[in-house]
Amino acid sequence: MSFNDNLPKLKPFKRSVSIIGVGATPFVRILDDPSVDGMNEQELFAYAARDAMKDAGVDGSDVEFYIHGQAGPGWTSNLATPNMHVANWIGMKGKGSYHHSEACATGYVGVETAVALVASGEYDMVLSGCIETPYSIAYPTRVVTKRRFGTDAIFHDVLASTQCRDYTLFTRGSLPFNSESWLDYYVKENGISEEDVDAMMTALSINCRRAAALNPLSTITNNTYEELAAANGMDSAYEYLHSKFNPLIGKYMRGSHFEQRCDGAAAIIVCPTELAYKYTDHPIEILGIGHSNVEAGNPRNEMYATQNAYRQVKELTGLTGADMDIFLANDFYNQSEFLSAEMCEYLPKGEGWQYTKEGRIAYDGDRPINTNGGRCQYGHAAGASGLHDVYEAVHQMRGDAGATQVQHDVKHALLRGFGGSQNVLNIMMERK
Amino acid sequence: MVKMTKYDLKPIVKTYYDALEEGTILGRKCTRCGHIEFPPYLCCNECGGLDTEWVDLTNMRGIVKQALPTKGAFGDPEFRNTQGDYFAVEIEVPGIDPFNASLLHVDYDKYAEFDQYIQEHEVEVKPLLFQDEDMKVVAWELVEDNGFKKIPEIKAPEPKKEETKTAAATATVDLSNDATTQTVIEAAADAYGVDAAGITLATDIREDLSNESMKLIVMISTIEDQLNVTIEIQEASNLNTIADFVNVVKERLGEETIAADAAVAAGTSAAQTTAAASEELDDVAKTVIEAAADAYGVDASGITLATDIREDLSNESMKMIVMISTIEDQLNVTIEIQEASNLNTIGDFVSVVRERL
Repeated sequence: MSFNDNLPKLKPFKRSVSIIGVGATPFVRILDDPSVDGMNEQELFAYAARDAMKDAGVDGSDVEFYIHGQAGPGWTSNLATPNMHVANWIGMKGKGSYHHSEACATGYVGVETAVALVASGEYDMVLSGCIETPYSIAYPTRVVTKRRFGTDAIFHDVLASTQCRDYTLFTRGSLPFNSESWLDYYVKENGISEEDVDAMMTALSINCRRAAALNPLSTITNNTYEELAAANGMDSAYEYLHSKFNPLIGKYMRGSHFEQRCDGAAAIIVCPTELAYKYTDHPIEILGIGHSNVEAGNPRNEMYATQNAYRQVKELTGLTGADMDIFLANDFYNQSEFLSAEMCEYLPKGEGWQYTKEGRIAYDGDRPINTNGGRCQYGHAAGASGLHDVYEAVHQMRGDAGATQVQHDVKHALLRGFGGSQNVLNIMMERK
Repeated sequence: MVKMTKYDLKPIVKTYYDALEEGTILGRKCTRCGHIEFPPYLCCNECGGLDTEWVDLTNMRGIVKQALPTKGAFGDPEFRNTQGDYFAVEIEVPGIDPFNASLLHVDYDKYAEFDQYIQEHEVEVKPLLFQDEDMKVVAWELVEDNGFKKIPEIKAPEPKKEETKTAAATATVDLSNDATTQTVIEAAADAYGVDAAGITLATDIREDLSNESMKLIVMISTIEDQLNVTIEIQEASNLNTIADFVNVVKERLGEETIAADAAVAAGTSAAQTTAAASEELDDVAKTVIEAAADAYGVDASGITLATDIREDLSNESMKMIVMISTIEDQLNVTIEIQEASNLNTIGDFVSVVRERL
């Protein structure tokens, strides 16, 4: 018996809930990009929310309640009540709202909490949006158009602030375990050679970058590693990824396996599935949401929390990862893609690394993961990234994801979010 | 119904750290199932039981289940500087959930062998208390040597230099004759894709080149390769200008740093501050000090220009308001309450009042 065995069985929602609209701003770097100079929290949230409402065919008069998510309203924006700061921006003045903040899991919690409000019967139409500007942070008291760099030093302090300061932070063991312990465990469990680990991690970077380069929502990645290699006089992406341009930063991870901070927002509109058909022929039903939190003082917390959350949603829905047609995962640490996909049975046990090495999890592979390019190449705007995953999954399920549309019909999607060391949610969705 | 009183709020974290000061390691044992919470929490995570009691774990032993290196992006360089090299480890102690920790007194160069060794052997560890700034913390050490133990030689920390912009102070350094400086500049130019001719010692990496982390990592890596030094990624995140990097490298290479005149400037500034603090108090300063003594209920003789209002007297806002009000009445000036919230020392208040007079 361990605490991992002491988790509740999920019960079905009181009424079925579906997504009818999704919206997302491009991931940008406000301070580096003159075309978005002066962009800020309010505007990014509003553009994403409006995009979602337009996508759903509704407006501010139809939406009854909104939820605001931001991982770091304190460190990036100095906002105590972030939901109030967008209250005048989306045609919903006077309506109820609240803010929530769960680090990089924020977008996933944003789905869970919106679904709960509708499933309970309290509201019929809810908007859930998330915004983050960790690359171009606000000044504490100046107008929001004035920005300054969110530097690595600031970011590291924030990352450290996800470690509990009763005991965990002071062990000095938790941050190294956060990043690479699951991969290290997996490599040993499966007896993977050093050469194969390297080949797998290299393929991961190359394929994520291929997708991001094709994705117009990623403004920070416009070329593939092959193109970068050629531009630097090298023969191959492999050579580039083993050059000085991509040094090791951990036991297995190179620079290309770590998230790239940027600024952006995303939003979704949910309503009862019954009502959803008024707006679309193909609502995206939320079948279930598993949820497990395992704090960073516990070894391989991401692994155990993923296992727990997946078990819950599998038991609830009777569907497994093998039934899914696409998988999206927070890959703040790039390897989380295939590790979580294998844990959730989307990839066969013990074979995830081979699928990765052979490019089968790329957007044009047979078991696609993170078709938007993922957080290490597409970009990562902390709390907003989870809803970018939902945005990507919904468009893949509709078949209109553009250049990275997968090559088979996508009826089912499984999303695995994590954040805040580690708050893990597994969201299973079905296109009606 | 029995309402909780403040005497029912028995501190757990503080009791734990207080006990460490006495050399005792405490956990909490569930009174229902016997599971032990270490570090100590209020309730039991094994059975959900609500009541736990203190248990002495000072003599516990654990087994290392997993070990990770700590150099690179995810370790703690400051911790390493004060305690020596360490591995991040998972430790299993019977009756306690496995936990993450640091393993000190290890031969870091033997990480690969150690990693292999723990796959094949049960490696026993015991707690090791160490001083972590102002408190004692539990780390771990090997019970048996097995060729992996190494007691570090900890250098006494160098006094921190005054932080100062090196730009102006280093403007006169002749770059063309300094190989280290040239290497750093070329590494920056290469990593950030800019012309080296446009980079000087005063160039701020993030403001003038780019805030992209990956470019910084590439720059560091190039410097490391070319000059055979190590710059931690976390350490680099606190360096701003090219001069900052050059000086770090020079320190590691045993070369004379280029910010000597900047340090002099900082020293002058510190000296001036000291002089200001010890100068004979004028009427304004005396009035402010007496207002503070009165408002905070302390003896005026214990207050100087360097006294920090909140740290040394009290953080109570009401006392601050009283002090401001007294100063305003006696010196016929206005100090806004919000303005005062950004003033720290008595000297800060004296300066503001002098400006108004």
